Amino acid sequence: MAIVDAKNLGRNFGPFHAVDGINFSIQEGECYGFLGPNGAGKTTTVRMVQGLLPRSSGDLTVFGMDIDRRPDGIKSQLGVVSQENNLDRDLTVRQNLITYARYFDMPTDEAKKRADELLSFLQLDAKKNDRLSTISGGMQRRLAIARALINNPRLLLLDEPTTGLDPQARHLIWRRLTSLKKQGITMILTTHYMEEAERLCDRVAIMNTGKILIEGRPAQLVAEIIGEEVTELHIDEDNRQQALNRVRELDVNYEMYGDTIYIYNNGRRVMPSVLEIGHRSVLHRKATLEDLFLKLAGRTLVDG
Amino acid sequence: MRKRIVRGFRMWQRNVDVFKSHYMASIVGNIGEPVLYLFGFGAGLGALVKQAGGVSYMEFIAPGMMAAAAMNAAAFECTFGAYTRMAEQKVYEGILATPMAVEDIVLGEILWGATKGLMSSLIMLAILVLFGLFDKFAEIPLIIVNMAALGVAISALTLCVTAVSGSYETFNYFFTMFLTPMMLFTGIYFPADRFPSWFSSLFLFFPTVHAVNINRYLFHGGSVTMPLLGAAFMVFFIPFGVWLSTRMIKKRLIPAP
Repeated sequence: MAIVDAKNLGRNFGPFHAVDGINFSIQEGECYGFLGPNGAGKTTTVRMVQGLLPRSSGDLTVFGMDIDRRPDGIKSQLGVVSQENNLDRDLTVRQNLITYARYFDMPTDEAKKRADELLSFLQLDAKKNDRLSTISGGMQRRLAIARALINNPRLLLLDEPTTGLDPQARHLIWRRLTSLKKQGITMILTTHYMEEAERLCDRVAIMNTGKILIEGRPAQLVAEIIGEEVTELHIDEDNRQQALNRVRELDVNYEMYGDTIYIYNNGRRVMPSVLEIGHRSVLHRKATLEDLFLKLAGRTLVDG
Repeated sequence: MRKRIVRGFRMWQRNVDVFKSHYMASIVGNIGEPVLYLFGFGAGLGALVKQAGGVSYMEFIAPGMMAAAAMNAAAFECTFGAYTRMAEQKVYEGILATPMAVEDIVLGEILWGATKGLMSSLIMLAILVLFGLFDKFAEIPLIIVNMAALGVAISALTLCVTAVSGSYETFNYFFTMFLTPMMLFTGIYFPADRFPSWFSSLFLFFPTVHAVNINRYLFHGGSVTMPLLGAAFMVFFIPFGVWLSTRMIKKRLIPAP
């Protein structure tokens, strides 16, 4: 049975279709990522799964239950880290967890024990009696993750869990999420960091203007659409048109953004000819999800 | 139903936990204000006004000031306090990711607003006792019920305002157009019959005047007609207010398609 199953799911805000008839199905233990620019409909989708936004159309079941009919049954098994910080700023770090546990009807002793376990799992022990205003953004995000885990959720919703954090804080969160994944928790993740999606997600859906453009395993999608390798050719402004004409003659797939031409796959075959084109620098590397994203962006994605 | 009450109590408990960390400031305000008002109005105005409604001016304003304390505390809590939690800190949104529903949050906020109202009015009562302005100790249970009911009614009413507020400034409308008139024209500081009857009648649609009438009756006795009417009003107004405020807050937090 699918943990989350959406059929033709849609949500309007007045005349605006924030989510426009999407289908997806998430299996137990899977980490599923929604990627896309701002305004693509990722957060709206997550909020519908969470029962915070009623849908306009379609069907949505979580753990096999309809969120409109059984919000309690679903929410008691759900952990949510929202995009906007909604920790309780009037309480200390540890109080945040204990108070939150109460909303799940957890007995106080158990809540305290669980809170201390989670504080140590997310390396917040030293800060447990601090007020929220005195801890860093990275720590607050870790606390939000700890809070989302207080009820031992079966499904964890993470809406941009590392946006705005420094690389160190981000890596710490990635490590923790990886270890949760190993424990078998099903996760839904939204992000616009392709590296994050590549590391964590078993499957991704790339969204734009409320629709899912493509869906699949990150490595497979990249291999199918981009290929194995990418050559980046950095060129000077005055050389742009000439370089572009030369690349066209090579009969390869390419995209151009600003002062960089991305040549997809077969880079090795044409490498000698590429190197003859006037350039500032050249980079030959493995293709990533970011290439896929940018390629789709070149065609269809618009930043909302 | 039992679940709803338990969960409403969880929201209330959250507010109590926060209150515990800064209760001194709150209590100092609660004691300071009434003393200043009693002294200012009672001694200042009382020197000019020898008698009102058959008792000394200080005695006249005592029951009304208790109601005013409950009304103000509940109104502030459920406007500025609730708005901060809802719109600024997104506390409600965090709570809605748990099995708690909007109904539980609203119920907890109303109970908390009423609790603060009751605390303020009881501190006021203690001060009245100290000033020798109250000695009807047998009436205290009914006075508590009356003040709690006023707190619930005002909390529900003000949460409706909070539900449609876009910023803290919006509350100026409410305070100027509703709360201040309810302080001035409901018989707290001077008998309400000084004003044209059509004007006084307008206030009968809001809870404050009824709580003032009931309190005055419990303090000084007199005709029981208006206090009974007031009690009947409260019995209808409270469930309606709870229903309406829940509906309005829900509309704001969980926008329908």
